[in-house]
Amino acid sequence: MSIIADHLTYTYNRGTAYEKKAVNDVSFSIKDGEYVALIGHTGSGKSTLIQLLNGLLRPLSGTVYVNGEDIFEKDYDLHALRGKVGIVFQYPEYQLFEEDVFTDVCFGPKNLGLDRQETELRAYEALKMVELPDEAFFQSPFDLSGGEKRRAAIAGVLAMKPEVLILDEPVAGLDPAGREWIFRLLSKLRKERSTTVILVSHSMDDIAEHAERILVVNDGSIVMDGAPAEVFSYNKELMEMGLDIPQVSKVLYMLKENGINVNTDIVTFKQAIAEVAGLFEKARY
Amino acid sequence: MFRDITLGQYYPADSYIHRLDPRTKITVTFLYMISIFLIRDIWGYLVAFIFLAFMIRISHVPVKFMVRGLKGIFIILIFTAIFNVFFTPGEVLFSIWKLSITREGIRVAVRMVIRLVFLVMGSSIMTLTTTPNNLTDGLEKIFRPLKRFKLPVHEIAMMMSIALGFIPILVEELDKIMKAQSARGADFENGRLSVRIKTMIPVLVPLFVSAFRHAGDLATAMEARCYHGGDGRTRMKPLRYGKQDYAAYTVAVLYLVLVIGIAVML
Amino acid sequence: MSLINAENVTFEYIRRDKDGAVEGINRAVDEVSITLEKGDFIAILGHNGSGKSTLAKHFNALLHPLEGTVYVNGYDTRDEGHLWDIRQTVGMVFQNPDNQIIGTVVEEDVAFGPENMGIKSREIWERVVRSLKSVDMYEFRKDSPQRLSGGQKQRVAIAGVLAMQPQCIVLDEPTAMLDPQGRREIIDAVTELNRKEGITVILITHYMEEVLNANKVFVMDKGRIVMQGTPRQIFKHADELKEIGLTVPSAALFAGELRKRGIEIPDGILTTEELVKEICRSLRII
Repeated sequence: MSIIADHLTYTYNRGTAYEKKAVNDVSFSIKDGEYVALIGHTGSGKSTLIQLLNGLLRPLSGTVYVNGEDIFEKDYDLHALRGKVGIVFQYPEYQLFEEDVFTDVCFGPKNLGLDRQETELRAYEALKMVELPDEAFFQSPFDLSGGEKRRAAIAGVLAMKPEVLILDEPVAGLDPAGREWIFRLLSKLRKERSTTVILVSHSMDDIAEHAERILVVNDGSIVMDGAPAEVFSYNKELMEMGLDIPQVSKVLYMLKENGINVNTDIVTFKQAIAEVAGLFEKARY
Repeated sequence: MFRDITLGQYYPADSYIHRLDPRTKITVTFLYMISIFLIRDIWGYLVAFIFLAFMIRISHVPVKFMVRGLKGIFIILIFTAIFNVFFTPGEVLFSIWKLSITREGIRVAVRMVIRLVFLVMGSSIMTLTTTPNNLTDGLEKIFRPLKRFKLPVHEIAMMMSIALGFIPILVEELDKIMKAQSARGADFENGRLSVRIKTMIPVLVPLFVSAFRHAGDLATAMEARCYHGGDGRTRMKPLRYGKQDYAAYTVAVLYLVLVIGIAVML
Repeated sequence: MSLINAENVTFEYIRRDKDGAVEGINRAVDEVSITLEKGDFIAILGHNGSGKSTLAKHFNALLHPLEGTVYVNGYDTRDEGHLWDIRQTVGMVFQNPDNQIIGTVVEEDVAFGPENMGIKSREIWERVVRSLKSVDMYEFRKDSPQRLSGGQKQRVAIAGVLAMQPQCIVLDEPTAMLDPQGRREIIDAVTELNRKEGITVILITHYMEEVLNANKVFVMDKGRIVMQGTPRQIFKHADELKEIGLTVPSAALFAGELRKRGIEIPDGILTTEELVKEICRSLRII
């Protein structure tokens, strides 16, 4: 499923003392099956942007095309779109409300108008996918641990079987094991359901490991768009925007500064190890 | 969608009104409210209008901002107008079906609407120019004598101040939860009232949970900062009357005398 | 006398069902003993639910141990008579910046603590100015906290604690909800307070990179302290840390991988600078 943002503009508190342009003439297109990371400091406009992508906010001007169709057209079925473009908001566990986890996960598919059997099947699949232990299915969501709540909440979105999954800082507040789990889940989704993933994250290390493409948002505009190696080569610019580069890139750039000839286009941990190990091989002969 | 509410909002600026003691502002607003109910004719309204316009002008709050505050009571205004136009007995001007419009009805309706607008604008000058903390400080000090009757004045004031601080946080939270549930396919716009009430459950449950979490965390944070009620508590900005306050009281009293004068004489 | 002395502290949360019958007991802190001296910079590491926050709440009498004792400046935290002395000595900054702001103007919020302590107005002003300056937030003193960024809000919260002139600050995952910029701001501010003003710091976190400035690290798992030592000593144990849901700073991970491939890189590397220096040195030897 492809998404095209066409000159999107959005302003908060229009006509008041607090007027703020959150998204300013933004255009890009995301191809079916892509794994895109969206980075930018807090308040740069990323959260507003993702809400425009599935019609939760209506742009002041510009529009969004999903599979070639204008989603802000009068006759467009926005309700059905929610099943196709899913959003996992920041701290999604705060949306849990039902008496037990299973019923809560059923909420999404039920709203899509699916019958009971299909709804329950999807809920079950989703809960299995997030690796929540079976005995938690019929517990109150409020009795789960923090990490388990996050799993249940994400299952609530997965049960709608979205073709595009947008996640707003899904690892916020999670410990290293929890972070690893999230990225395992995203890999599985891409493999089993070929889901398109749009990931909003502050962790450059995670992005470098997983994303194929990075969009950098600053003051409501897209200022960079490219492969991780390309984007992370703008070290200084990213730091000025309050962002960062992956640790791996830092190591390689510092080696280069020390007069060692390394390939600085590498951003993943494994490749970087291989590159540095290769230096030693070469030096030995 | 809830960001338009200006009630209880503070408009940061540095004006003569902003610098007044909150007690002065509360008292003057109270006097102003009394004056509105004393007014009987156009001259009185004119004086009130001049007084109000003058206050808005020196408060440095944009008029646009004040008018937007009226949006919240728009429905009440319409109701008041319709109710008075149709249900005031008197000289019938014309009738539609079983309802008749009277000359007195129109007069009462216009008067009621003007009164409401004047009241809301007047009191919003106070809330827009005073931080909630300052406002509750003022109330606490004004009502301090009631402490003798075992009324927990400090606690009530503190509760009000915290509640006011909670409004923007909860509004933001509500917005977030509604969006999150919409993303899960919830529909808040269509359907009959009974259906719509049911669709609010997925919003209300998380909102309550979140309000309790906020409250619990805040209570812990206050305790960690040695909060233990009003006893022995001092203030960084103790309330003190200055020259500008006496001037404001004088203007307010002169205004009130003028309004009463007009009401009695004419 | 130690600033904080916890002896065999145990704490349990009791879970009850709808009828109030005990459903389960969760031992959040299990026989923990810790001694802190003035001027220390301590980090407590642990995964979500390892008991680190529960332990921290014992240090300023927000929680009382079920078994064992906590002494702050020699006072037992159960001693009601010294409750306010204890809370004044050990200040606390929490995770969520929005849930600890009481004032609607930055300077009024910072004044909240000293006001509760009954300090005179003039001194409160002095303390507020000094505290805001030491976290570099003085220019925002007239602003509404709601308009600040997460990192700025947390710095205001730190100023609010500083205005009480504590000897020790406990920070309970202060950066969990912040972006990289905000996290840098907080860690820098805290490190500076410790180094320049000699304030004892207890930093609770699950970000490995944040504990590098600490002089001692405690690692918690299932309510117990399972490791303690300097960051260098702790991060030598990559495998053990991984087992309890943690990791090591990526420079240490990098060094470990190189070592596994037979490349000579010494143990105990923590920062990128150290790693690069060692790689260069090792390359030159060959």
